Parts: sequence; structure tokens; C-alpha cells
Amino acid sequence: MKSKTYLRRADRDDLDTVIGWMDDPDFHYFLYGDPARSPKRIRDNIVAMLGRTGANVAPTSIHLIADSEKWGPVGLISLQKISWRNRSCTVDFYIGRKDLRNGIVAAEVAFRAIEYCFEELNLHRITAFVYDFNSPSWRLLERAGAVRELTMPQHIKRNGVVYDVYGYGLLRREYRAFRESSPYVESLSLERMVAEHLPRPDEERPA
Amino acid sequence: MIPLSARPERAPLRPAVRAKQNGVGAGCCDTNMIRGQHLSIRTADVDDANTLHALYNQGRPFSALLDNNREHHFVTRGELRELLASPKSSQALLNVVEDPEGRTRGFCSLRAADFELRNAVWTLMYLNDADYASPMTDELYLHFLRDGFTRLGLNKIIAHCLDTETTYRESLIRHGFTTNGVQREVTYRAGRWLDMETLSIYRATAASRFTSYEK
Repeated sequence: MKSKTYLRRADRDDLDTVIGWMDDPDFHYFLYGDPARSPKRIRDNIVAMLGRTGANVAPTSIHLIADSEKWGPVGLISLQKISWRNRSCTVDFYIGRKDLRNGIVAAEVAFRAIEYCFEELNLHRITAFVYDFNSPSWRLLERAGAVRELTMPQHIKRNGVVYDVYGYGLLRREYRAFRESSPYVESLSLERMVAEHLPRPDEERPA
Repeated sequence: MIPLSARPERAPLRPAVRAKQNGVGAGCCDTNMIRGQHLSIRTADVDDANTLHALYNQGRPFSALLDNNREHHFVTRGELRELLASPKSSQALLNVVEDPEGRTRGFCSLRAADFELRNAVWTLMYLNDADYASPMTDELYLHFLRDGFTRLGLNKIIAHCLDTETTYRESLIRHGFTTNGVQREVTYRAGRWLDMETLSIYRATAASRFTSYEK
């Protein structure tokens, strides 16, 4: 099966789309963020990251757009707390297109994020924190081989209700085992994504 | 069980000259010291930089000394002095644990983690690993748990410990903390991956322990 979802750095043209996603109450509702940081500060950080022209050699956070041939930009991938010594990071992915949250596109975006961490950044471990009411997300992680390592009861409040938070961890060897065990995954190779979707230097950039 | 008479008493807020420790630094004024039967607790100051530096260089990994990315950094005494001298920094959050003879045994802190849910993070590290099982530690936990859940109105206190901090973990379990799980291979130190466990204690659990202490 040919992959139709890929990751890329954000352009200036994406700013309005991304800000629109972050202004949606769902953005704060679903994503685990540092409770000590305000949503405005989180948003400012992401916008600042999107605006950088050059790639930092060893950034502590990376934000990428999940794009799709059919749907256009569908979501945002945030890799935070990147530790190059520990070769680890915390992954958040947010599907801005609400109509695509429970389908194959969401699964592809999640897989792309995981694949990028292990295949491109050469990380050893990724961590993800998911609220217990966000079952589509933590089910996706479990299907990708992530292990629920932490259960933090009564750890986050949303709309006046207190929820548990799950901490998931996926190690490199577990990711490799997942890839080798799933023939479907093999068709979503990162090499193919790069070859098929990014323009060559001599080509005009798509509008 | 710690008798009621041994509860740490909060010292009156007046300057008290503290003797030199380890030959470093002049006597300074402590305006907030808590004295108990087995320990004294006071806020850290610039003169504690040497002792804190010793913990960084001890070779034993401490979860309390890892940064947000779970990395351990070498710091200089000058950096620690600067940090402890800043009024907005760890000085207000880091406490020194002293034995009855005034010797520094370790450091602890209770820091806010979530203002809305009133959660806080507890850290404790001793120069001597054996101190985690001492009556001093029992008194320390009694004070901070009581203070946190009653005066500060906390709902939950969280603690993290590496898989090498076995005596610290035992002290947490002994004082009512329960495990929330273990994150595998989160940090790399001394040639191997270390796991980190998260434990927590809730107000209701702690309250029942205070009652048992006061019987």
C-alpha cells in the first residue's frame, strides 16, 4: 500500500493553519503539556520553531507538519525534551483535521512520527503522555508496540474533570520488532516518502 | 512510630548564627530553621555550594540532579554559588538536612508541579546512603508530608527515583508512597541505561499515617 502521508518542516505559508489548530480548544484538551507553562507560551514556542530558517544542529525540540497528498496539512508533530545524550524524546502528535482523527490518516501520522524518531534521529527511546480519555491515541501507541509504563491517577484536569495520565515508552528494539512483524508497515517506508514526496533541487516547488 | 513530643518545632523567626561548616564560609544568619529530635532543616544558602557540589561529583546518580531532559551535568562550585545566591532560584526551594550536631547530611525539596491540581514533586538526596533508613529520615518525611498536605493544601506529592537509588525508594515506600510505574532506559550514565520509577502519595493516605503517628 502506497503511503500518502509524510512529514516536512513548516513553511511560512503553514503559519495560519498551525495557529488555527492551536487556537482550537482541542489542542490544549488533548495534548499533555507542562502544567506550569501557559498555553500561550506553548504556542509561542511552536510558532518560533516554525519560523526558524536554518536547522539547528542539536535542537531540544522539533516541530513538523504532517502533510497528505489528498488532504493537505493534517497535523502537527512535536518532538520535545530531546536529549542527545540519552537519545530520547517526548512525542506529541495532533491531528488538526477533526474529520481525520479516527481513521487511517491518524495512524499514518503516528507511525511517521515514530519512524522519524528512530530512523532519522537515531533515538533509543521515545516517550508519550496521553490522557486516559484519549483512547484513540493510546490505542495507536499500543498497536505500534509502545508499553504503558506509567499510570498517574488524577493527574490532569480538563473542563473541571480530573483524569488519569498514561506514560508510554517505546524502545528502539521494540520498534524494530514491530516493523519486522508487520508487512503493512514495510510499505510505509521513510525512504519511499523522501523519494516520492520531496521535490528534487531541479524541480519547482508545488504551489 | 515517632512520638508527638518529637515533632519538629518551627523555630522563631530571628537571626541565628550558624557555625562554620567544613571550614568554608563565614557564619551567616538563618532566618528559618526547623529543629527536631533527630535533625534540623533549613533553606540552602551560598555556603552549601561545596556540599552540593560533592553530591554532583559523587559518582552515584541521583534523580534529583537530573535536568528536565533527564541529563546529568557537571557543574562548578561557582555556578552553584550563583544559583544558591539568586533569590528567585533554588535557594527558595532547596532545603538542607542537618543532624543534631549541625553537620549537613543531605538536601531535599518540595516543588510545585501543578498549581491547579496542587501536585508537588519531592526530592531527597543524602551524602551517605545509610541515612535513608535513619530516624532522621522518618522525621523529615513526617514534617514535609504533614506540612505539604495540611499547610500547603497539596493533593498529591510525586517522587522519582532511579533504579540505582534502592535505599531512597525503600524510604519512599516506607512512608506511604506507591508506585505509578517505571520508565525504562530513560537516562544513560556510567556505561548503562537507567530506569526511572515514579511514585506518589495522596493526601488521604498521608492523613491516615499522621493519625497513626499521633496515637
